[in-house]
This record gives sequence, C-alpha cells and structure tokens, in this order.
Amino acid sequence: MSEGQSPLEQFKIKYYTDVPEIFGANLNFSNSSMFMVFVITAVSLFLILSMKRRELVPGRWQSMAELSYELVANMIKDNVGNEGKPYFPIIFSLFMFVLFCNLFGMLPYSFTVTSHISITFALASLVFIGVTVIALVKHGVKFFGFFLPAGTPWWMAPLMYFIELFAYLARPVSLSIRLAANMMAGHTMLKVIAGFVVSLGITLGWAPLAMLVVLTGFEIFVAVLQAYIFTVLTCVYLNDALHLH
Amino acid sequence: MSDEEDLPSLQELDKSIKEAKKRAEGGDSQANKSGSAFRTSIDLVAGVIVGSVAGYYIDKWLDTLPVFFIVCFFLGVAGSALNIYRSIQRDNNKDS
Repeated sequence: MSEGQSPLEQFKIKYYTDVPEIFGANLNFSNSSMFMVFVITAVSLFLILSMKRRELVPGRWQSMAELSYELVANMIKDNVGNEGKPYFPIIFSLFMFVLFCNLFGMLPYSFTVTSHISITFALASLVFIGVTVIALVKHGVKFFGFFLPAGTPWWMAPLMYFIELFAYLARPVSLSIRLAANMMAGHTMLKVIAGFVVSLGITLGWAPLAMLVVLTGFEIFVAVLQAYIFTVLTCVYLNDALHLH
Repeated sequence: MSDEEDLPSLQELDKSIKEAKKRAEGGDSQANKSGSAFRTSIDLVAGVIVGSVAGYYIDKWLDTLPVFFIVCFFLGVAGSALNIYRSIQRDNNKDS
C-alpha cells in the first residue's frame, strides 16, 4: 500500500511548529491541538449563538442547547442528587468536550482527538484526582474507611482493603481506555472497510460501500454513547466521593 | 374536508406514533445493554493492568522482582471483578 493509505495513518500526530523542549515537555502545536481548538470554538459558538435569542418557545438551535443542558442536569440529579449541583459546570464542560471531539472525528479528513490515550487519560485523571480531593476535603480521614466495606470480618480486612484500593485505582484506567479504544477501533474499522471499496472496484465494491454507510451511522451512535458513558461514570464517581456509601 | 373524515386518520397517526415510541424505547434498552457490555469488558482489563504495573514498579523500587508483581496482579484481578460486580449491580438498581 502506498504512503498515507494505512488505516492507522489517521491517528498520526503532525507538528506544525518547531518549539524547543522546555523542561522535557513538548510544547509544539500539533493537529491534535488544532482540533481541540476547533472543538472548543465550536462548543462555545454553539452554546452562545443558540442561546442568544432566549425565546420562550425555543427554536431548533435553542432546543439542541437546552437538550444537552437538561441531559447533563438530569444525569447529575439521578446519579448524585442535589449535592452534585455545584459540580454541574465541570461535568457539562467534560461532556460537551468529549462529545464534540468524538463527533468532529466523524468528519472526513479530520483528526479524532479522543482516539489517543494521552488525551483521554488526562481527562480521566482530572476526574479521578478531582473526585479524590473532593472526598478528602469533605470527609477527611474518614475517606480511608471507604476502602473497607461495612461488615468485613477482621481477618479479611487487610485483603479487602487492598482489593478495594486496586478497584479504586483501576477507575481512571478503565475510564480512559474505554473511550480511546472505542474511538480508535471504530475509526480503524471504517478505514479498513473503505479500503475494501477501493480495492474491489466498481464491480464488487458496492457491498462494502453499503456496509460503510451503516457503520458510519453506528460510529456516530458510538461517539454519542461513549461521551454519555464517560459523563455518567464521572457522576457515579462523584457520588461515591460525596456520600462514601 | 370535515372533522369526521380527519378523526380516524388522526387516531391512526396517534397509534403509529405510540408504536414508534415503544420501538424507540425498546431500542434504547438494547443500546444500554450493549453499552454495559462494552463497559464491563474494559473493566476486566483495567484492574489487571493497574495491578501488574503497580506490582512491577514496587518490585523495581524494592528490588524484590516477582513477589509484589504476583501479589498485586491477583489483587488487581480481584479489584476488576469487584468493579464489574458493582457496575452490574448499579445497572440492575437503575432498571427496577
């Protein structure tokens, strides 16, 4: 296969600038950073412009903005309760960022920001560290009792403590891998099947083309579903931090 | 065009809307099921990865190579089983 035809080519990071490393950190502006700027601009424009007119009977754009607001607001109400309301802005920002990153990836020739574990792990560790700090501030030393389920016999306590600790530490890993793996697998699959269309030509290429249409629809569904799952799990973790069941 | 002529068609429309809604809801629960399947499969891997990596680096630090690696691996497996149990329990609570 010629250059640029590999199904994994789409995940390649390209740098547009040549800034020297500062304290070992790569500060170059890449295509990933560019698409993050696009996403943030798009989210801001979408919410600001669609809410500009503030009609009592919402139009199409205003309905979409209100729908996304209500989705997250209900999610917090169902999973966390009233104590979760102060955290609405961060959860809503996370949801919109992940959703728009996933959907921007569905545009042809675009770059899927969330297909890289470095990005999703940064988001997941933001959630994980934030939630842990909230729990520590709210409950203090009692937070460490969270790792010991009620009614554990004393001889099981040390074992259970470490199992719970590892279950807790696995959260950011599962949160980040789930999003990145789903996005990467879907986009690779699309590229591979699109390659079949070209190599089978006009005579047989119609079958994979039809499948490609179906899979594109499915990928848009996965993009929304994964953003939703990411946000729901953030709410669940926040609930654990606030209530320490 | 009198009202009497319109009414049956409206009723039909109402019926088909209700059916479509029911279908949509059915599809939604199916989507939730596949979503939870995706979630649990990744949970299965995450605990193992965390346990192995943590164990390996503790060993490297204390210079005791297979001890903590093996112990933490099994703790990680148990932790991921616990996470799966919790997430399934959460789904069941939501349904009922």
